[in-house]
Amino acid sequence: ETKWDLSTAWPASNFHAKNAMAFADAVREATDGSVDITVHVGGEIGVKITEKMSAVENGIVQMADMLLFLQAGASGEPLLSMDTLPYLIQGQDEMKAFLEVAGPTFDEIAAKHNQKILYYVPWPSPGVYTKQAVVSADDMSGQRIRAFNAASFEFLDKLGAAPLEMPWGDVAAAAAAGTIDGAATSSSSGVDGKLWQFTSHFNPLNWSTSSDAVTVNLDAWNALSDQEREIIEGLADKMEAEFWAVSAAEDSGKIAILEENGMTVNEADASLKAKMAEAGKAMWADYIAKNPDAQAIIDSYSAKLGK
Amino acid sequence: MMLEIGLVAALLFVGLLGSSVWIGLSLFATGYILLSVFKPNIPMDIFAGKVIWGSVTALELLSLPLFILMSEILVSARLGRSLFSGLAPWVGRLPGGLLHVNVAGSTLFAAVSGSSAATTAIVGRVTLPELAAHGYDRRLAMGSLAGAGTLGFLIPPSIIMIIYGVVAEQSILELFVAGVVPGFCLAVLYMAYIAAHQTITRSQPQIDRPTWSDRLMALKQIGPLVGLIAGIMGSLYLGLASPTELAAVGVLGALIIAILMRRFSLSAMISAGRRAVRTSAMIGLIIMGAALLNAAFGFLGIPKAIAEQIAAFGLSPMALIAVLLVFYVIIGMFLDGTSIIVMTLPITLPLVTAAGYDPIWFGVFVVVAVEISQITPPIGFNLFVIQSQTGESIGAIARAAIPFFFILLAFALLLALVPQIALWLPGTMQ
Amino acid sequence: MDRFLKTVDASSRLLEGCAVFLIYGFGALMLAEVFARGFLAQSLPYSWEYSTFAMASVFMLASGRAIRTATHVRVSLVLEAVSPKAARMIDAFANVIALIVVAAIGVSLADAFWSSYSRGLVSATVVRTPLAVPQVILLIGAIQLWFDLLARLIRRWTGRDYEDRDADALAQETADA
Ligand code: NA
Ligand code: NA
Repeated sequence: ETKWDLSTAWPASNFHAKNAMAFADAVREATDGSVDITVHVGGEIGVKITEKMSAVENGIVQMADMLLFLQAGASGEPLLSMDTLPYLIQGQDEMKAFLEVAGPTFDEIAAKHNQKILYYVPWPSPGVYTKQAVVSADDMSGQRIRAFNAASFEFLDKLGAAPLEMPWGDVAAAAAAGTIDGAATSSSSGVDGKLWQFTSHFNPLNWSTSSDAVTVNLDAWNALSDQEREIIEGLADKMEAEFWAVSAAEDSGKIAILEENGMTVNEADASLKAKMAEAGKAMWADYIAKNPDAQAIIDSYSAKLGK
Repeated sequence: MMLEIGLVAALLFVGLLGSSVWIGLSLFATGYILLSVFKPNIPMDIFAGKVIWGSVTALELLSLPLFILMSEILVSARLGRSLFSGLAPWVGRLPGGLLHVNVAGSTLFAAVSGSSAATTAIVGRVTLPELAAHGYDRRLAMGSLAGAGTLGFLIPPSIIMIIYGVVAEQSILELFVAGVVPGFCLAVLYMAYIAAHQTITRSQPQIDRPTWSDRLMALKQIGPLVGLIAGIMGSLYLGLASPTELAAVGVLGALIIAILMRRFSLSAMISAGRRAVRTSAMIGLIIMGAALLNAAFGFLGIPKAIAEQIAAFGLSPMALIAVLLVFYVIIGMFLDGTSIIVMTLPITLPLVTAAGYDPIWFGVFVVVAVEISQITPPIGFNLFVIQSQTGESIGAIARAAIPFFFILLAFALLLALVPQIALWLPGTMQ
Repeated sequence: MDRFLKTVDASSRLLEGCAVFLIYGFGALMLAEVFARGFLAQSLPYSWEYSTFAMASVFMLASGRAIRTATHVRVSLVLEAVSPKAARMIDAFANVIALIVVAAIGVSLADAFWSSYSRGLVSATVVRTPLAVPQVILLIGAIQLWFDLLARLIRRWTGRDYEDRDADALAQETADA
């Protein structure tokens, strides 16, 4: 009997954590209990959100559900943050096309860190939650918005907003008191945090789509029987599609909840779209200059999609 | 297996703590050995390094060292003495007298600080030496501080409520609002106990009847502290500083007070800083050790296993709450508040909501349970703070806190009987 | 021997001084963020990150001095109940255990530092701080803590004054004067 630990950064109620638990259950059932995966949610076992890949590499846990771009710094693999580039990937279809191109590179990176990617699950796209409607480029100017990662910080900065960092726990009180004007995050996190209590507008700018990956340590993997590996790979293939559907339903469902709670959902006008495109392309160029290895992937992907 | 793990953990704990190994190091060693024995595949040096690094760089902690620094600066400015001479003519003859300053001070500072340890540190640094100087019962002084300091989590802002809100997907604002009435009720209960104790034991030091001009003169002495609290709260509600940043505003305010009262000197500020960093280091070492021990318990699934056992009983709603309270009191002896919530909530919250309780109500209930954990040995952060301030033993402080432990326990049950204590105020918001 | 003890004390005080500088420093940094955001509609992207690194450094750098001044807490139940001779034995035992545990902490931190340094790892934020920098500060703090514990054991065993509570009393007196 094989006992594995799987670490996910998300609380038990989050759809990624639920997916991971569903996967663990399916594996237990299909292998008649010979592979028993325990899912550890949130901060339960002290593995930081940015150190999931490194924890799998070192054998602290055998599996992890990780937000890929967050692993870039602590694993020394800048290519993992490619999916945060604005306008590169917008929505699930583009994510699928992107993974077809970038997948082999990600597999190599994973192998270099002694692990294997079983499946990916994308997040709903991010948007900005604000007190005033943000529709045009002018509206965006000077808005103090909490950013959620390095790329969103840079992007908001280029759009003329005043992005800032702040612990997520401070955001509710800070927005209610007017310390900040809003926050950038996904529809899903917006509902979890009931952001309608202190912001009134959501603009799903859809500037990027990021993905979680679930990986397994190679030593643990190779210790399984051929049959067990086959079963798990089969399940990963089959369930990946289900998990993507869960993510898509999550996005539309959550936007409906935002509207039910009185939030106005806006769309960017031409001026903001133009500014976003300009900012996004500038960031591509910066990124490629810093990470020349990304050139081939981005070129072949954008050729494929005509971006 | 679970029994075996529990036994080993208990033996290590008693052995290390009993032979007076420093608490942070005892926790670290227990976690390290538990994992080495029961999870032999984990590369412990790598893992421990990650856990240490993660635990001491947590954003939620930032306000703690700064609030400690603020209180040390206030001590350097001799604000404690001013506060007491200012309040003595007003409350000195009431039953309980100046002991109420512990509760009132904690209630006020709870409204600016998000943590119980910080609230205890701020208030205790100022009140404990003065209460001793005025001849008050030492035990009651320490006990009431330990109890009242816990208000830091119940009265908003609150780190524990934020963590509950994130894990349970509840509105942090609603939780904050829900904590206000219970926080004040608890403060009143503490004051009632202090008054009753001092009346019955007749141990309250007596002062001369003050005149009204004494009283008016005294107001001037309280001014700076009132101004400080108003300034800190003002910076939050005027939208200048976020809850975590309030501590930095507090340090600035304390420095301004020291300068205005002509009690500022560079050397005094440096020695205040020296005392503050030492106390911070003490808490930091315990946080590190607790993080590794919590990780070990998480890996080994102990809190989860117990919570699942409770689920299996199929209890009536009231019995469920009573059993959960006992459960939280026991795990609260060994775990810190964040870990208690993260490790148990996925199992206890569905149980409680299925029994018909509101998740916001349960948030307040769990916060009270976490407050209890702050004053129960062997791991109780309020006890540690008071030990570092008084040099008394953990046992003596824990004994002093026992009445307040029972008040908290009774209050938790009262909450279960009358959920409206927590739910009325957020209900008016809808 | 005295020279060794004096050196340990001096470096302990020096690192405590660095911690004092850092605690005021990150307080000032957070105020700067409040000011910049509130009045200049700008944020200092490094303020939170540097503050947490400074805080972690404060914890470790002042830890040695906290041992020397008996600020670190312990359960003294047994020590108070037994004879002075037995208390000395138990205290020495606890001190040796502490040396072993702090050595384990030091090895763990060295490991974290080395993996960050050799692989050039950076923080996951827009600031991209090389993690080796704050981590080496933590490591230095742990090493100092170890030497403070060693010095404490030597002092205790050779009948010297092993806890420097005077420092606190002195500071308090100046405050009260
Ligand atoms: Na509070
Ligand atoms: Na406790």
